[in-house]
Amino acid sequence: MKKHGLLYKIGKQKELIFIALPFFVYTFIFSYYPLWGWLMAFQNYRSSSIIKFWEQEWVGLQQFKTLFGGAEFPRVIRNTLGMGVINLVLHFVSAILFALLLNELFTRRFKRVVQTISYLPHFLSMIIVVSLAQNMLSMEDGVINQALLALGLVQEKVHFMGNPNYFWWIIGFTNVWKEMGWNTIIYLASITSIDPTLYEAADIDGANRLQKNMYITLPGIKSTIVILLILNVGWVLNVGFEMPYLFRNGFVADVANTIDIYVVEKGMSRLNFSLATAAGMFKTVVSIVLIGFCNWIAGRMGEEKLI
Amino acid sequence: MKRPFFTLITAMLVLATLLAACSGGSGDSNTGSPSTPDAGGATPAPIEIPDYSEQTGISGGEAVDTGTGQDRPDYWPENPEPITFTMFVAGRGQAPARNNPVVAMVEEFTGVSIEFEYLVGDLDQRMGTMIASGDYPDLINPINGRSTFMAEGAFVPIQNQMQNYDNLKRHYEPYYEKMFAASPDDNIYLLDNWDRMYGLPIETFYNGPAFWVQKAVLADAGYIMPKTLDEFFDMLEAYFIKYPTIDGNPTLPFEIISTVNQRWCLLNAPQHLIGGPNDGDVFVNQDTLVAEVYHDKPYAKAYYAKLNEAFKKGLISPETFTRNFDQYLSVISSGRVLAMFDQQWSFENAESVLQNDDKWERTYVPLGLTFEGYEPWYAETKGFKGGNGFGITVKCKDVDRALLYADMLLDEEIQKLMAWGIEDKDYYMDNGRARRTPEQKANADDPQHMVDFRGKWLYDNFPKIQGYFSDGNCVSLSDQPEEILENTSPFDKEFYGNYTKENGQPFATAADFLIAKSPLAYFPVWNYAFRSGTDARIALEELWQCGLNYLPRCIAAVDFDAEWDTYQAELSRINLKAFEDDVTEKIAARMATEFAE
Repeated sequence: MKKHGLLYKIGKQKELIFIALPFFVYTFIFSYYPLWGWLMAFQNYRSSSIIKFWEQEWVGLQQFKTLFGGAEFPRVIRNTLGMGVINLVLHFVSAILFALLLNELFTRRFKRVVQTISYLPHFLSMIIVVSLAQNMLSMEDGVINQALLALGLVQEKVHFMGNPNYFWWIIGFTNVWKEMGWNTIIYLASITSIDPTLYEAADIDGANRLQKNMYITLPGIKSTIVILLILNVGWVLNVGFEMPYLFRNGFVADVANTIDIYVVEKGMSRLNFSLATAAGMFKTVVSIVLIGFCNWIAGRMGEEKLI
Repeated sequence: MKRPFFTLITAMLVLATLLAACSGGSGDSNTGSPSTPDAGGATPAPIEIPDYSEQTGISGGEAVDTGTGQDRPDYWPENPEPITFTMFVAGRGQAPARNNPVVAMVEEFTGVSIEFEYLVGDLDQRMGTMIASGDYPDLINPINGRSTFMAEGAFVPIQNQMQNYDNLKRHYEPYYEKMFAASPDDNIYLLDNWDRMYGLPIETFYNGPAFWVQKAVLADAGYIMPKTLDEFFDMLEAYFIKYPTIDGNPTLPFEIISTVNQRWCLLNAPQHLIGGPNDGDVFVNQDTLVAEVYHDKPYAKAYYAKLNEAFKKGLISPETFTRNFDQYLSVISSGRVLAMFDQQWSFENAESVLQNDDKWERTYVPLGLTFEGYEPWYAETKGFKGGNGFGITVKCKDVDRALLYADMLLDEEIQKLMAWGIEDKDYYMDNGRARRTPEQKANADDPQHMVDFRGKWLYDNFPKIQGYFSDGNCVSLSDQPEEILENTSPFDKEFYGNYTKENGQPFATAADFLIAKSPLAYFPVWNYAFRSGTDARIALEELWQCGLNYLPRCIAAVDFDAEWDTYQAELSRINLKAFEDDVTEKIAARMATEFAE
């Protein structure tokens, strides 16, 4: 086969490149260009109309030393990872199980209705979701406490919002409630692409429903699961700012603050922009490492790699 | 309509000055004649100010020189060029409606329209983004963000330029020292919106910090007046045992909202319990003028131990610490919160729900509690604070025009327009007294009406005359003694009638439950500015965060002493000394400027 130069290749693909250009520009402007601001992490930046950026005091790794020297940031990392992992696991288990269950429904109509209802909460704003959850978990007239009491599972009402042991799980399950339906969409789509003859063959072999799920459906969507896992592991530190921020209170402060909350509090509330930038940088680096690790694992398992 | 009204004011000013001698002093002397004139009509002279001190304990009014009765300054433009200023207000609120008639009249007069942005969400974050980007509006009413905005250089110094404006100069001249002292670097950045009082003090209204308690609780206990924390909680407990539910829902004897924006409810009570005024985060020894953080002191421990005891008795619901502000207002407006430590302006929306529902017995009066042997000091006589106002930012498109605007707003006719509304629509004049029909009063209590037809949201954010106008009417019509007599609900009339002042007169308003004392010149510490990034500022913020994180656990603790020790251990890591020293130094600076005069 004849080899062609780079220019020839570009010439051949000029339409494709043209189509990709807006996305390239978008990514550059919003994801790469702002990175120069990371320099702030090596300064002792003070907001001021007089001092220019380049004339700020440069302090080297001082901010990182402050970050890891105190007791607060390690605790914040622990919380972020804790909530992140709980969210990730609950997210996958719930979405896959729910997709499998929906797939077992025969009546299309009923399936549609269930699916639509289940993904509606995705469109609610976080503040509404949190208020709903707080009301349900309330001691005074919360549904959950009343149900637990009526079933005799607890002797007296549980103060869910005030117990640090429950906090990560409340975040996790509230997320499940909000996002489960939405997350199943992609699995359901992936299930429909499985060759129906496999199921017919299984029927002839006398496989029951559970076996069909175990040996046909799950392996059929395995590559989707792995790709989504890699993508989501990159987001594990992004447990979000809103939900823990809205849920937290004095009782649970030790377990509620995430890296994002830390960044906003240090940066925006206490105007310590440099420390906040350092914390944000750390988070990004850890996320990249996590993605790389998962990608490598996926490669070892013989699955399709993302990068 | 301007000119005739204007001459009327001048005429009234002359008359009122003549009469001032016989009516002005009535608030001080309680030996007035025992005549009992009925509201409004008993006095022969057209604008003589009636004396209601017998029934209400309030002086009828005072004619004062607000300085704007005479000719308008010649530098005011006849047909001002239109300009629009943007303004950020660091508090909850609502911009006036587009076709609001009062605002339209002010705009026509000044040529200035204001585009408001009210705070949504967290103040610190909104400020942070504004400061980080340097993207300021033309004007800012910083409220609790005053020290941050000033310290970050958001405002232009205006002490020189403001000298060119007669009204501003006259309005602020007696208080320059306080205005200078409010800034971190000896400039004037903020023009106070509030507490520039004209005339005798009006003490019919209190909305500051106190242990606010439902009238029903006091009434049930036989119209007592608890003085100490112990008596107070005994009273709450007795009521709680007697009435475990209110309207079918559980009674909540004592609420403590513990969110960062309402942090005083959890944090600030100890200073009052040992007789301090509301200085915020420190207790200031009034003799030595040394400031101390009180959260590591035994008297703070005694207070929170008392709360812990109350918690164990079920007087404090654990859920109080996990409520957000809206949920807090919602439980108060349901009428089942017996008491809380708070500042009334913060929960007044919930209280007005109770009033509208005619649940007068569920509305609140302030109690000035202390520990045994201390004199309470919750209310301070109203006075100019310094720094409690709006500023012109470095990004303002026309600083002079903004000052001219504030100057023109101080015109008495414009002030009346904003405070009272439009004559015969929002109020009527009766023998020189400004009065309101019940309907007009109801309108004034309707938030939507205020947005659509009144100047409130403009008025709140700019300098104003308070106290009395030059014709002897109160600036706030609800302070007019005629109105106080009319307004007091039958329940309140009977309720207040059970209490008597030292001079033997019955109580007339909730404000009578506290005795106001006048503070020293340094007061109050809560409006001091601390530059961000300084040790003092960091210590203060960590102090708040630490309290909000640990105090709920102390109050709810099974083993209070152990939790308290954890709290103290956390506190000891904060450089509180830096904060205390900085405050003490600032106090000394303020006192020094005061005595230098």
